[in-house]
Amino acid sequence: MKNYIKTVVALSLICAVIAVLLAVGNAVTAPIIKEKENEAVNQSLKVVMPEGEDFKQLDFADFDALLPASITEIYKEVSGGYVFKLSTAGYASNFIIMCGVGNDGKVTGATCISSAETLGYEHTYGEKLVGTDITTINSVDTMSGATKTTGAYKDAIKNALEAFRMLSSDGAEGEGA
Amino acid sequence: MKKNSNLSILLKGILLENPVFVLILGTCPTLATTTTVIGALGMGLAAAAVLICSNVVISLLRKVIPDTARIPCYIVIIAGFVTLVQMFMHAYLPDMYDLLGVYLALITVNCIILGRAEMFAGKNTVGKSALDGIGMGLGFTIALLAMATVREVLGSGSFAGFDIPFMVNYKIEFFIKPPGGLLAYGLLIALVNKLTNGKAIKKKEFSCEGCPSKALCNPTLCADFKAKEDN
Repeated sequence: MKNYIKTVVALSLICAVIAVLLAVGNAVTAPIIKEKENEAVNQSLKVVMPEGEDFKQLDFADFDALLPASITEIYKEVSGGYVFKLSTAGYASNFIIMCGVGNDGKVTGATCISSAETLGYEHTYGEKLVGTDITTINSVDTMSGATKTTGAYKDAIKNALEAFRMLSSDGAEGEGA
Repeated sequence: MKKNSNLSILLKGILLENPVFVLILGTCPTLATTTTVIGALGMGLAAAAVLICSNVVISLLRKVIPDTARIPCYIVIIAGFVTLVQMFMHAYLPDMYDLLGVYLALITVNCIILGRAEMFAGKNTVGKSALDGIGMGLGFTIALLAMATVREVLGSGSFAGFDIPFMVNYKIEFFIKPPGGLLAYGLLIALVNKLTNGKAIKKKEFSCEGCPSKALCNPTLCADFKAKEDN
């Protein structure tokens, strides 16, 4: 009995100390990671919508219940296009994609800003989807050998196109919030 | 050099007990992250950092950790250090973090780290365990770099991302694919066997006694196996 108690206490204590260490590590690194991610987001706005001039972040709280769950941030471009920040699960864990949709409903660009996938296809697959819209995106194939990554990528872009359709049919709802 | 002198503990991981080429541990990251020299260096250093820290902490706690729950304790400690390395790499080396991807988290189940915890750190002093961690970490890093050099130079015609004139026109892409990895691995093991000229640790010296699963094994079968090996 004494041995069981000793085992439980030792393992619990080790877990508690490690948890405290991780909390400290997280407190130190989380703001830096967030800052770098924001920088990457700002840089990628121009990459996914090269003709965009001025981007304004919309208040997500106005319509988050209606939009696909993968969408985490929305930016409206002054001429009517949108850029969506999407978070989806591929082969490993979450990866984050920025996708621009022009005011004609076509993808203007898509890029992956953070991932833990193994093969790197998520950094090039977005180019294949440029110019597609909600009706033609299904004609783009996923890539053999990276079906999970590219399938999840394509589904996320479909969500962005769907969200664009919802936002443009709602007019300027949420704008300027 | 005495078998247990500090210098021999430090140096044995580099060649005579190299974790990759002699102990044949950590094969998964060895094959997966050696397509580029930069990726191999990042993986080697990250695993070495975890190995050194976990060896020191496990050695410090070796009298506190109960024998029956040692594997869960080791795994919690190792996973903690891996997560810390992951957080700091994500914050300060984001390109390397993206390059290593899921293999960074998989250091937790790297056999070298658990193997050294079980075979060495759980039985030796803090100083010796730290030296063992440094030696084994260096050995792992050097082994990955050797594999990656062969694979990147032959497979991509470059070294650390820089194109090598002539080689870049005659890439053998087979070497950056998994079968090429296995071939390069086999050839390097053969080279290390030749270099050590039979002086490397023998298989039976680390088979049953050092096996992390010894406690779970059927002792009769284990004894039979050992008897056969001795004959």
